[in-house]
Amino acid sequence: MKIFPFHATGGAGFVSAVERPCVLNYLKSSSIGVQDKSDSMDGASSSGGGQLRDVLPNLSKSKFYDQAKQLPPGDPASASTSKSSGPVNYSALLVNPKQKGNPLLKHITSVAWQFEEGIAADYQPTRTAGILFLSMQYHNLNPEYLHERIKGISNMYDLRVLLVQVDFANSEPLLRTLNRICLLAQMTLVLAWSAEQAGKIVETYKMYENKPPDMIMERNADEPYFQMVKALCCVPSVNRADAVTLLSVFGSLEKIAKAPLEKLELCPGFGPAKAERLWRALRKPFLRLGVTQEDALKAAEEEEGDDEEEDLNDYDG
Amino acid sequence: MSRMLEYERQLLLDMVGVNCLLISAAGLDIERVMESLLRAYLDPRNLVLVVGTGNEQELRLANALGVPPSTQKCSYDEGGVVFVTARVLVVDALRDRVPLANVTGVVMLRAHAILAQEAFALRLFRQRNPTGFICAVSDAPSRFSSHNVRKVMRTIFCDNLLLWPRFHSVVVSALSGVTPEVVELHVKMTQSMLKIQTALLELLSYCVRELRRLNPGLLDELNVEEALASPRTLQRLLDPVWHQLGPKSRQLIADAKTLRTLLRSLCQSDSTSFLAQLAPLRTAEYAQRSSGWLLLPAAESLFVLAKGRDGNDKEICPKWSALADVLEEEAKDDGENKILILAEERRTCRQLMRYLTKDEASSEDDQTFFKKNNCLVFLEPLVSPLEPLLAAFSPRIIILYDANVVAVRQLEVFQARNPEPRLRVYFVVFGGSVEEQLYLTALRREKDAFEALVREKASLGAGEVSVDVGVESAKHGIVLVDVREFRSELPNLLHQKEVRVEPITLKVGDYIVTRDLCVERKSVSDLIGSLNSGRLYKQATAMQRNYKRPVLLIEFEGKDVARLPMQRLQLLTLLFPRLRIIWSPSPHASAEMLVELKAGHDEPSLEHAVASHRYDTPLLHEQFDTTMREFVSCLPGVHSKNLRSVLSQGGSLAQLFTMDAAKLAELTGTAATGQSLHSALHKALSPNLQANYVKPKKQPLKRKWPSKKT
Repeated sequence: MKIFPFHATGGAGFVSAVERPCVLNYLKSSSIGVQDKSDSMDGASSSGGGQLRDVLPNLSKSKFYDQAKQLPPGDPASASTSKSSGPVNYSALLVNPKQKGNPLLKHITSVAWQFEEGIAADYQPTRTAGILFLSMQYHNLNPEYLHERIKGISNMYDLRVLLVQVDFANSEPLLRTLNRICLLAQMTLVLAWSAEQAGKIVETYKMYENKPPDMIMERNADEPYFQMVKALCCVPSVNRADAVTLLSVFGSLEKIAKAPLEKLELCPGFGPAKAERLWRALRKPFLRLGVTQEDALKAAEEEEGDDEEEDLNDYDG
Repeated sequence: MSRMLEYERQLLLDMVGVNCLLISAAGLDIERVMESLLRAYLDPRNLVLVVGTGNEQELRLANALGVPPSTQKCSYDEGGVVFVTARVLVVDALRDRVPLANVTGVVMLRAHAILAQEAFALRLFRQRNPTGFICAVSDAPSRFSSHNVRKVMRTIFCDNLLLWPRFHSVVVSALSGVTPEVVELHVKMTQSMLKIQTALLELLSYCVRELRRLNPGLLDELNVEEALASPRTLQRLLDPVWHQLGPKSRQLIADAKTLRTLLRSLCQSDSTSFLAQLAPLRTAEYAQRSSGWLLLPAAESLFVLAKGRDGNDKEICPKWSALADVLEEEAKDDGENKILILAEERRTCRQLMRYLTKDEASSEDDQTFFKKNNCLVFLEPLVSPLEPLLAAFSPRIIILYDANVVAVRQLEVFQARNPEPRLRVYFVVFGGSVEEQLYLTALRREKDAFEALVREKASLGAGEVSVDVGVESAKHGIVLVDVREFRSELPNLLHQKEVRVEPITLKVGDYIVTRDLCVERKSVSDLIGSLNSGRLYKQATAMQRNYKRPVLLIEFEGKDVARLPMQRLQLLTLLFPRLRIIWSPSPHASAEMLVELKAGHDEPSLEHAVASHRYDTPLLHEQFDTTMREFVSCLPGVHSKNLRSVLSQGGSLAQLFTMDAAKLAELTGTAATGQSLHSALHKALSPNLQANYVKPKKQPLKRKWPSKKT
């Protein structure tokens, strides 16, 4: 019998309701150093037992530490996948053998991964980033587990991600605790709602290892056509398809802006209301009511200076 | 001003100086009552705040009273009636700029649209002033469900619900005195029109059926009648489930709306314009996009019939000939009559103008009247209120070209107020048509809404609406909140949790919780938008640069989960390993988290917040029209540095069109940007496939290493 932090539900077949109390006892006792023999597991792997020993903060000092390292590399079925005894291949996604059996592994399909004994996190996409995996349901039963694991990775990585699978009905109070823990432990909380999503998240962290920030940065050098589509989409209720329609019907912005309301109404996808909204919007003066051009230009000059003085005074008063 | 009607007098007496929520039937023109009510407070000894949003109704009211509307800067010093937006009121109250304790009362227009900031403003008012009145008004009974009306009443802290439906006995007696002479013209639809209507209804019911099939359990309330109701009604029905709908469902909804428009224009316009409206639906482009209704036999017959109708002997819309007959009849009299034709849309007016004057070519677009014998005939679109229009033209004969409940009510009210001369109203409607059905549905809907409200009022026991306003204190310290954040619910909730909320124009972040902790709040839609536009990247950079503990607060709801832009978010976490993420399932949870984060930490420093590096130009949002600011900022050649100069010196799009490339270069800073803006404004744009040729996507490596199987 074994339990992993990633067991999604009791129904997954590993932990039945009857067994739960002893699971808890087992976990408690493990933290004071009771060794769990691999023969008590269902024969899957030695590393499954290692999981609980690894959570000990002073792992390397443990007398079982060396023993664990000497254990044979696991069951033959997964032998080819886990190269735990070979040299560390940092170009692959490293997976802690404790994660063996976690359903999210099935969904890592686009990057190479391998089991690696020596890593502190559950998943290590790069040397500087480590991911801990936690099932909310498991956390509900064993809140201590997370603390132990966090201690284990506290100074190991620049980016420490806590990947939480939301598989618990009443997630709100747990989420609050986890938010707080992550802030205190300086970890980045990422949520997944299924094993598949969790797998994709782990995979993405590997794939984005050296990704430049372009994807989330402002892009100016778009083609004029697409910039214009984007501009037209700024008018409320005009969507992308409408913008494309407008450009294909009228051609240029000038023609769109000067088109009579009637013509706009005839465009597919435009009802009278939407047409009128567009028509009005394109005729609106840029300056708001009551603001003069001088005001706006003056504000531009002051921009460099401190124009928040007013706020300051009020705060003091 | 014409005399007040009995129900108006009574309404006014019911409302003066009392806490109340007034819901009246549309078209009863409570605006006039509001005007009289506010006029009574136009005196420096009073200070009555009117919370509005700057919509037309409010502008009219402010104009009538001679005070500036809420879109302009207001001053509380002079007393009287002051129009103010909820956001400004909240910020002013928190900065102690408005003497809330001395305010006579608050009037809330459009009570059905009360949002977080309005609720916050009212709560602040109640906390500091337990005696001033709060009076909320609405003329949209169908916007109040039973749950909603209780919520609004809790928000305004009162249990006095005043209901004034059209069937109120006082209203009935007031309006039954002098009534207009109504001539109902039930026009018959032609055979082909009837067939087209049947086909359209069939297609609409297909869309509805498909929608319900695709979304079992979600859209069970939806039926053809709902789909036919105003787009707004449909949208309200769909809003709660919108994010759960797939692209196919959304397309079905768009198609249902298109079909609805067609049904209406079938009743309003002639065969040629109807056919013109169909044309874009026959393109291959639309066929690919549409949800498949084009494949039904009904669609085929729709197109064939519409074309046949517009054949050699053009079918004339039966309403048009009916209209022409009426005009002929009325213009026969020698007297100098004025006839007013009211249609729902301006384009219908223009069409009718052309038809009635038999003048295809020369009719000016803005000409709205013509002479027939001795009669002056005006064509105007339906507006609300109609009163100024009626007063200006003083017609004796009115022809309602489209069936519209609000217009009918307003004519009744106008006649009751001005008994002389007696109006003759022609009510032109297609018998047995969708148009008639829609009119009846609108009436029934309003009646049902009022009946539900009456029941609600009866069940509303005394003291059921709690008047617990909470206390204002700084027990949990101070949080600096960006003034733009007051649109959301969170500042209100923080204030309720006894945090002192300090409004300030923040350059970095939305909330400064402690000295080191800066929070940027994002709803899922914001998150998607700001990750795409690059705004969040800039915000995160600024937060990381200025605060030790930058936090991204993501507010998500269950339905949003599938939309989360996970990959981009992950990239953000990789680039900003110090950025913490707080996941909050509700604004309440966010408020609790923020309060919790404050415990045991230093208070935020205002000096630091003010000194922080700004990434966004302040005042831009206050000085420029939001839509146009965003619009212009997207144009080629415009960037954040020259946006202000383009906006303030450009003036409007029309002015930009008149400028040459050199002038635009002056505005944008360089010749290159000026040139690209110039060509973007004037040149025909099409997707340049050559330039935009996207590299074929790299085939994802199928390599599985180490392979699991081998």
